[in-house]
Amino acid sequence: MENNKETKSATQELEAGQAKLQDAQYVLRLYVAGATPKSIRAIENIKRICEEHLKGRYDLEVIDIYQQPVLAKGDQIIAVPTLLRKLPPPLRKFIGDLSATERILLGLDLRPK
Amino acid sequence: MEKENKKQLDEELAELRIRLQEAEETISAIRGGEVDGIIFSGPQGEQVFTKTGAEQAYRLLIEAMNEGAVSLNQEGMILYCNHRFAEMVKTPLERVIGTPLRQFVRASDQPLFDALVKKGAQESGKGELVLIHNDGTVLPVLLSVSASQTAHVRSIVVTDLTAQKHIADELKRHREHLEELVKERTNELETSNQQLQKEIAERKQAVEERVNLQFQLNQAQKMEAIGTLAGGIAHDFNNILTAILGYSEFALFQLPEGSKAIEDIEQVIQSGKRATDLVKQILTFSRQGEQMHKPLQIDLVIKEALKLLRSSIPTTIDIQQHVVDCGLVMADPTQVHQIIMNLCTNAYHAMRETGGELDVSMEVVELTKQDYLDTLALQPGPHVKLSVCDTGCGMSKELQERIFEPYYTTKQQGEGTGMGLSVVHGIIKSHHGHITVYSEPGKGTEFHVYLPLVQAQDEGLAKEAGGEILPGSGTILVVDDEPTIGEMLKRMLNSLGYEVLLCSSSTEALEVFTQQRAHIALVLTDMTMPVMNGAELARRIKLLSPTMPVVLCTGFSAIMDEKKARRMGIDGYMMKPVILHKLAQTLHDILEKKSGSRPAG
Ligand SMILES: Nc1ncnc2c1ncn2[C@@H]1O[C@H](COP(=O)(O)OP(=O)(O)OP(=O)(O)O)[C@@H](O)[C@H]1O
Ligand SMILES: [Mg+2]
Repeated sequence: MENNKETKSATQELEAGQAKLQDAQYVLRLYVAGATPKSIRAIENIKRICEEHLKGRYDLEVIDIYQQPVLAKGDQIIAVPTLLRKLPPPLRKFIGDLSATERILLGLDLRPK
Repeated sequence: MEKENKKQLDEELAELRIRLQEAEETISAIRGGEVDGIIFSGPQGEQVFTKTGAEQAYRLLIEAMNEGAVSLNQEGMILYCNHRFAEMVKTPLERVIGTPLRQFVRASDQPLFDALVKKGAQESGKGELVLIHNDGTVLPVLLSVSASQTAHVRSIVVTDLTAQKHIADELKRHREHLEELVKERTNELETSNQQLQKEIAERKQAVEERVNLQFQLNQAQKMEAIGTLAGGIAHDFNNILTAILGYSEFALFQLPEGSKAIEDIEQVIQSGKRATDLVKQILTFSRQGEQMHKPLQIDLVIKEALKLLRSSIPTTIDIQQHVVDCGLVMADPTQVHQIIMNLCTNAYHAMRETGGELDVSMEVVELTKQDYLDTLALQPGPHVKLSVCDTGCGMSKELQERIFEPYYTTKQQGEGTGMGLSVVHGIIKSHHGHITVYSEPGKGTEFHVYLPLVQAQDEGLAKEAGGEILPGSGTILVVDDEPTIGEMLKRMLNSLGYEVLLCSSSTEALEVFTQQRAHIALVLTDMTMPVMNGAELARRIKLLSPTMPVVLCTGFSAIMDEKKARRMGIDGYMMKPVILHKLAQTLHDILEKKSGSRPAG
């Protein structure tokens, strides 16, 4: 979280195109482990965030690692729940039940820096 | 350059920092219990480890299922099963887990089971098999083996098929029953349909047959009526001609040589003979003519006739012939000759203007009941079929119906008498044969003649007459109820050198014969007489004197023909009008034979 400043400086060029992100299409993937309490919470949280901040321009996939463990390997997931920001770049991972909304919004570049 | 390098290094550094941050977050999340599961990737694939309670929802589902659920390790040992499965195999849960599943599978289904489980390593599969209970009862089940995605564990769902099987059996029975009903009904319908078709066909055929038979009958009756009429007239005519010819010949005999009347009388005789020929034709048509049926190879006669025709018919007409030995027919060669000549002459006339092809062919055909039923006239058996076909003008249907009537012709006067086909018809009838015609106007005509083949040979050959007038001697008893004819015969015989005893009735003749039989060399009798006919008289005479030659003389007889006469022991048979030289020949032959055979007998 503290790294935000560094990220900012290191990604000046991307930040230059910040305005563009207002319209960018988001592809998110959430890995869960069946109907465990944290997985259920993670699903509920990301669903809420998307509806509030990305309405109409996001694509959310929820994957149960019991059903499709191979996908988890491809995405180098080691623990669940994990949210993956696939698009727009850069690729980012968020672990846990996604209850820290502000941190998620920052990580998704949905908060001005 | 340096600036660009620095920028790239900065970017990489930033990325690495984020990764590090993510890694730290992950570790702290795991440590802090923020995750439910951890995934390990190893050589055995992905394995998921979840915290206690994570699987609870699935477990509840699985335990609530009506299906059996089983997990197997690689060796086929049951690692886990739900309560339902334990029920299915009627074994306590704690005794099922840790034992091989295979032991619950019926022996004959074990290969299938092994294949399913083996296949389960790569892909899912299903198979129906039978489980054996601990108490020996059986349970049909469906095994659904899931491909294992984590580790080498097979997950198997076991579905009880008893109910389905029962329903399926019921359905099958029901369907089979329905099918049976449908089949039965279809069969019934088919049978009745066939029956109906058959009846329709039969009825149609019967109607056709009746129409055909009616037509044939009408034709036959018409021809019969015409025949009888013509025969009757011809008979009377014959008697008159007999007198005319007889007296003329007699007059000729008496005239001194060089007399002018000789030529006149010869003219009378000539005309009389022509008239006799005509009468003969009519009699032939009415089947009352003189006939000499003998076993005949008719192909020889036909070849002879065709040779004659070829020389008289122009070459614009191509004669094709397929005339082969077809066996023997009881026939009169002259009449067979006449048949072929008349048919071919007609064919020639039909093609005279256009030219064409005349085809004469013969073959043996075996006629069956069906065939002769159609024609009324034929008996079943082998027949010679003689066909005369032309490519001439042909005939309309109406014309075809009348062609066999005597004097029916479409030719101009002097060109045709209209007797040709009537004669052919009569000849064929008297040979127990049949003639059919098929013709299309403008295309041509086919005549088919059927004559029965001789099966058991019949030797009844008659000798042909001819040559000069042969004189004779001895007493002849002449019997004729017609005085003019009797008188004429007497004169004829006298002129030949015979003595004559003349009687005008058979009773009188029998009396005379009884008294004077020692002097009598031969009896010449008319056939048709009141009280006792010629045949009966002959029989009585033969009773009195078996070797006494009897010659029968007749103008017209439906009840007598040469063959019959011979069978009765009658030695000679003559058609009226009696021609002098024929009379001379007949008597000469008989008497010579008698005197020749006398020393031997
Ligand atoms: N092959 C044929 N083609 C066409 N018409 C025929 C044929 N044969 C016979 N006819 C027809 O049948 C009629 C009767 O034939 P039939 O032989 O009885 O008498 P005809 O030929 O006219 O005279 P005849 O034979 O006495 O000289 C003929 O006039 C002719 O119209
Ligand atoms: Mg003719």
